[in-house]
Amino acid sequence: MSDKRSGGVLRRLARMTANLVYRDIDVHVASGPAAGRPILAVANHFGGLADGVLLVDSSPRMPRVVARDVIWKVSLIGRLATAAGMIPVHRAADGGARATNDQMFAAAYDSLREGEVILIFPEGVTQDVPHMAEVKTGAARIALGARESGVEGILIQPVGVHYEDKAGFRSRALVNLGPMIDLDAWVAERAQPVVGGADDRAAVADLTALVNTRLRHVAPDYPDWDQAHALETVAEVLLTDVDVAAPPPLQYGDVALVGSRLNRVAEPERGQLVTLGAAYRQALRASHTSDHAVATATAPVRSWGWVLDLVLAVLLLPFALVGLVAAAIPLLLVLVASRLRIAPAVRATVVPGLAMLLFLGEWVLFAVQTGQDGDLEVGLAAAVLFPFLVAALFFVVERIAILWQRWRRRRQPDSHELPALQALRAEVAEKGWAAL
Amino acid sequence: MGGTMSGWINDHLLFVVIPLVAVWLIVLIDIVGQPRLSTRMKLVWGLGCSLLWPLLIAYWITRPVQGRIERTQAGTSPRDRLVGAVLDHEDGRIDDAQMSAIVSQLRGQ
Repeated sequence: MSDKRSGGVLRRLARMTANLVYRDIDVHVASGPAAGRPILAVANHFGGLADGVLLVDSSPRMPRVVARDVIWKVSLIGRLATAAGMIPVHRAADGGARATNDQMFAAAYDSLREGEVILIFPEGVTQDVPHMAEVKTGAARIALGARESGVEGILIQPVGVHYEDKAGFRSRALVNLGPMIDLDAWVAERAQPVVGGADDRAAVADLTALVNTRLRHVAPDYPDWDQAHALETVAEVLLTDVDVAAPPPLQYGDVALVGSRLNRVAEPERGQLVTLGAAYRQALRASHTSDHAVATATAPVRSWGWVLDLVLAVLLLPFALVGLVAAAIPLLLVLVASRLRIAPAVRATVVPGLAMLLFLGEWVLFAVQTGQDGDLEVGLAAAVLFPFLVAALFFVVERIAILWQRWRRRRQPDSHELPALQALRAEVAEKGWAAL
Repeated sequence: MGGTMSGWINDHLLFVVIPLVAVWLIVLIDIVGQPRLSTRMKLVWGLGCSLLWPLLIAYWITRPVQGRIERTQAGTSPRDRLVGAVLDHEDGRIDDAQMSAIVSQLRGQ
């Protein structure tokens, strides 16, 4: 299979897996298209394989991923990685020799020369905290080395990947593509000329610092989960305020982007926002209500969207039930995997990997089993039908879950709780709007 | 099984109709749930796809990806405008006064 064709197949596989594992994927694009130009994408690494799946899905072209050589130690996975065009990087921490990375640099330079996209995770390892680890120099050395070897027009694309629940099945995610760094322009504007490409330590350090700043700007960068949740609660209040008639839930990407912005507010305002956001979140949970219910308590908003949701869910129910039977085993195994008591970053690799393998396997089995006894047409019909049955299952389950959540949280706070909640909400909103 | 195409379709009507109805329903659900389509466009696409089934394919190719927020084609909903303004303000494309004006407008003040 040619590289282009295998790249196309892999991108479709990544899109299928991303749509299977995530209920909603927001992609925020800051820069215009960079047709034909070589791109070095640098991304935070919170989600293991999940990051790879989302980034391949949202990349303008099939990227070549720079990954730790330990992947190649498992024969089958190594072969798949090679077929996917991945480039192994040897780390001293994994027992690799630094000198052997010459091949990695050469492969990366060649790909950039061909105008391809290289994807690298400059932290080197996955994180289970909501902030990035130290950004290493690899990305800067690849970019400057490639430029030194004659590659022109390199763009560095910082990409932030945000997860609502990175190890959860049918969760939500945001891929935030920030403004690109034009390497040639950066070199031209630098006071000191770049001499020796990847060997110019000062230039490598400066470019790494810039990549670090730009990447932290688009990626989650909270000191802890409490601060992340508190500021996202403030973001929810602001987003609800501007369109209180729109029914919940809010778009995850909107909450993550506004929350990240609030996280960059200077102290002491940020500290006040965190305290207020945490207090309001706690109060909502204690009262078993939602921000939307508090916001609409005095002027209830009538929405009939739920009737349509219910009708559609009932219409699709027969298909969903067949889908449940057809995909019961992979679904059950993936749900169990998403609740395993292992590190979230590992689960974020296991869940998309299992989902991809099991659902693909079940798809083939379903078609073969239905079409046994030589009834080819029935087998083909089953093969066509399977994705629709699974999609119908997800639609019905998720519509009903959203309706149930809306029903449960529509409860207005008790009259003695409401004034305190409204007062707290008003304070959160006032501080939040002032911070923007 | 009949020997002709129509005979095959009669024999396997269920397997032909079910996927088509499923596709049609899924497309309708997608149209209704599109946060980036105006109500008028939802009606146009919904009617079009119901009356002329080949339009299902045209819709699926041109549909706005669920949730995708393009900076260059930011949506017009108040939430899209807030997110766009927040990012523009942070990146220096709009100043404090412009940001305040947008916030006041969005809050209906």
